[in-house]
Amino acid sequence: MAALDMTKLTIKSAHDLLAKKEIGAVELTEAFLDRITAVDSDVCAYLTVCAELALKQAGEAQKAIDAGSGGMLCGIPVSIKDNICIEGVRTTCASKMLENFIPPYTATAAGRVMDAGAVVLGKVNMDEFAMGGSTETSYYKKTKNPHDLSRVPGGSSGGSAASVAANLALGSLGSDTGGSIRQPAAFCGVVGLKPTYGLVSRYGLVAFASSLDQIGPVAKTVEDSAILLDVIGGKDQYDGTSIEVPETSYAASVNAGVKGLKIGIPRQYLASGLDEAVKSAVLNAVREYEALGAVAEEFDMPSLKHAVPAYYLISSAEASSNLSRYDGIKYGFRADGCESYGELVSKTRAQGFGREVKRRILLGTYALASGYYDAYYKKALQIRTLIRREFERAFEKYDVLISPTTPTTAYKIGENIQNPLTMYLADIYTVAVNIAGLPAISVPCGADENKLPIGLSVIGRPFGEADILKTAAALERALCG
Amino acid sequence: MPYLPTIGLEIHVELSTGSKLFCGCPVSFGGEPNSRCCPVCTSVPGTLPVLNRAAVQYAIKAGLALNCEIGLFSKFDRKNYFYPDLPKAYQISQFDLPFCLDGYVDIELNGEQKRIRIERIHLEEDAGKLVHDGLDKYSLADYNRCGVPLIEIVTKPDIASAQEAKAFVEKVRLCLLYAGVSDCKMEEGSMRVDVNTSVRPVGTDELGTRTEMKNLNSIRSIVRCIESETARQASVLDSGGRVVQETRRWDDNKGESRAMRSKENAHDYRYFPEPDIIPAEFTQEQIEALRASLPKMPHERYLEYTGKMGLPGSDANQILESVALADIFEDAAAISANPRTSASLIIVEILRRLNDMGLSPEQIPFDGAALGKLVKMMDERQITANNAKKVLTLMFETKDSPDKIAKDNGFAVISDVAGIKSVVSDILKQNEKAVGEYLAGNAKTFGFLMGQCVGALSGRADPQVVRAVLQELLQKGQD
Amino acid sequence: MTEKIPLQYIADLSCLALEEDEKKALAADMADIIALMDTIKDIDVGDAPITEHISGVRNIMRDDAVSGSMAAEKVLSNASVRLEGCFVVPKLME
Ligand SMILES: [Mg+2]
Ligand SMILES: [Zn+2]
Repeated sequence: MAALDMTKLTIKSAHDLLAKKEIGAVELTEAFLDRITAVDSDVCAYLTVCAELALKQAGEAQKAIDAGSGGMLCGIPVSIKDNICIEGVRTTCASKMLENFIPPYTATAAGRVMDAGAVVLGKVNMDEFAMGGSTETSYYKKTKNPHDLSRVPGGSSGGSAASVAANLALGSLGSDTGGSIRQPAAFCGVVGLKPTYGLVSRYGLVAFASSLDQIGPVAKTVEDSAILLDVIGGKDQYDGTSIEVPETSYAASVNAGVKGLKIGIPRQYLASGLDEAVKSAVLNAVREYEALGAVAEEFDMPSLKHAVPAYYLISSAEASSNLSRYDGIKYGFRADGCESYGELVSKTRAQGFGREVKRRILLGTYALASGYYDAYYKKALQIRTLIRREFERAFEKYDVLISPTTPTTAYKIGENIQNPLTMYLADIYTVAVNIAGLPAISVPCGADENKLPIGLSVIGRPFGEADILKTAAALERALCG
Repeated sequence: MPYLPTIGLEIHVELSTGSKLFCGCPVSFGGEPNSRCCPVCTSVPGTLPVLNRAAVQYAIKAGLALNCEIGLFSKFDRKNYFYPDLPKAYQISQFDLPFCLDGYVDIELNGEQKRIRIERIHLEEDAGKLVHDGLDKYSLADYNRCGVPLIEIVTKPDIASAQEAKAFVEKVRLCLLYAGVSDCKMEEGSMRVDVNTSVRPVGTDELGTRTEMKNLNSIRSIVRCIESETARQASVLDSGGRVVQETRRWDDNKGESRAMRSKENAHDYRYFPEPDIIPAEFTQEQIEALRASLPKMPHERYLEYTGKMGLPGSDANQILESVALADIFEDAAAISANPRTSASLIIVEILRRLNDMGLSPEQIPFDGAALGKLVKMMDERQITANNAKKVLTLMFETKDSPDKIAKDNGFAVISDVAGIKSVVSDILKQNEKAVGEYLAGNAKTFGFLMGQCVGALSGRADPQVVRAVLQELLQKGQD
Repeated sequence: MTEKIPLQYIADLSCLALEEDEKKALAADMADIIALMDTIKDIDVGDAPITEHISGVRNIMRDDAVSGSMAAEKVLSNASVRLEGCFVVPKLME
């Protein structure tokens, strides 16, 4: 076994080796900590490495394995996006505002993976408060795309995707408000799943846009994503929007196959603005599905073209309210030398938030302000209804929908950051899913001429995670196997 | 020029839940600062509110008690503003779809009835407390009260005087006490009143510009504040000035108000639907079940007390002041079939003892059945009125039943006439002089002898029987 | 062309003390983005109701049960300034 590079394993294969005692949990964690030390100075995925905690957890995991009580995640090293709280571990949201914030409690999803025996290697980089699509708005560092270090890993869960793609973790928890799991997964050539709104507890996820946010897994394979989802999904008493769903095993659903599956392709998702390489990879995937016995056809979803402005209005409005709590008094950064409450709050916020965050706060405040509410926010909520209805109609006819995850492959660091509008428009294929609260998964479906990964998205009915997992897994097998 | 005030009230009432509106922290008064807090109610990033079902039920019960329509579909909204007592910088409240709409309360003033309409009642969370005392440059924030469930009762501008406002607040307080949704302790801040006042010249209809006075926490300050503000606005208008729409702060010590800085006035609250809380939906059956669970309201009880039970209005009102008293009264009246004596024991004897002992009616250690039993013993002449009072005193101390107390202490009436006769004849023997005077025609000595007999029987005999026996024996002596 | 954005008013409501050059830069960004937002103004949504809540379920509530609070020390543990068991707020302007 001397030649085995344990960091290249998947969750499933590592689990099997751990169960057979061919590798040890501590040794596995040490391999990842060593690799983080060796290469993360290039990739810059981690904001905080929890070596001590990880080794302690690995030791406990080994005990559970030895006692025969370890599940699929027992001893599996993972990374956690830095907007998901773990008690006692610094959680920054990649913002100066929370530079020294130590949560006094643990997020339900993070608690569930740790309870399942997973080992937390550390907290990974992201766009500040999850606002952005390139991880360039992080206050601390720019994470690089492991496939080309001059390019962005996508965002906002760029650290999650890069850590998995660079073999710096076997899996990761990210969060997705408008594509923040799927888009970096596509850019980094890994699998990212955004669950149905309400499937995974948001308790402990620092809120960006409460009606859109979901925590979800990032992993190397579809099966690994399902293994993580099996652990983090399900009703939580601390989240009043978390929904009771029947117990299922997502991991067991990945091998079901797509024979007879009805696939819809929204025509609006293949329109202009889409890179040729991305388009041909998606169409190639459609042919694969047809070869596997699925039936695919294009159809119209006219309201999708309003999804981006509606998304930015809803998400910014909610964000402007969610981020009002950062005032320098209870936690986080506090501006110096302020003599009045008003001065303290407005200076703390001006100095503690980055430009993108301020932009969204201003936009959201504008959308909610008296005199503008009906034209912007209320209208956006009505469009939300239209988009939901169009999805409902589509799912009367199709089992799943597919689309490109992103219009392009990973771009160069610095290429788009000066132009927020371009960045916003690039979210066209991902935001509608959040608006409608649906589950979607991005799975690698090829590469462009620069060998940069391309992602295909599979969208399902509410709580149709099993459908999208089996669909994504079928493509994964067809393309790799 | 004479002016008429137009007044609307916003009343915040703390609900009697065990835990806060959105987290499991306890709701109670006093205690160390920030000792009843958790990540949720102190707005730690990532936390979420989970709605307390009991608070929702209480809000709906309050609406039913105040004759409101209950919305079958309700939701929560965020009210956004920066203030250091509000850790999230938004208050979770209800904007366009509150639980209760269109209610009313009938008040009575100088024998006349008037209906004050209630626009809405919504459920929301309380803010924290800022302590400024003795500090120069800083305030201290205590978040114990953050997230305590409140209802806000908003009236129509139907109130025309300080006395009407007083009658309304008292009536609302009583209804909420009866509904069991709040302890309504104004002195502990569990009931706070905002007053909106405007004045208009007599003979005109158009409402004047209104001012808002926040957080009044006694009936006295509500009355004084309305009187003061009405006079202030009148004098502004009389001197040719204009009333400015503003929030003013009432200083109860000085008996005057002053305008707060305009920065605190201008608010654009940016209400929007609270995404962290799922809307509430009820069926009419669920609402009716809550209605059925409410006890009888005080105005209903007033009609019963003054009607078939025959109490004077003032007695009825005194008993209705407290749900505990009213419940004791009704049980006692039912058991004894004697509402009048039950009421007079409560009003005269029980209230005096409570006052002496510094207790509230809720702390009465016996129930209405025990009191009814005592009244029945009096009516059946098993005990004299005088000894009944002694039994009552002991009921506060021992918690024993009245018959046991009477028996143990020898208070039971000596009902056999032979026994009384022997005591009385002994008395007559010991007081030959007085007997002689009586027989000589001095009728006044009868009172003295009667007193001696009653004293010797230590109140255990029915005075009427004693009187009859005494007369009989004296008669015999004369013969 | 969009109407002029009341940036100072919005910044005040947002409690953001913006420097002049930052305000200029943000105003420029915002103009572009608001032009995109304005595209929804002309959309005919008919009588579509707003989405009140994305999940479509109702009545998720908890029982009125008291659970333990945190130690005050922990409540205050992330505050950079604290005094006498409280958070410290500079005087309100009044
Ligand atoms: Mg209010
Ligand atoms: Zn709490």
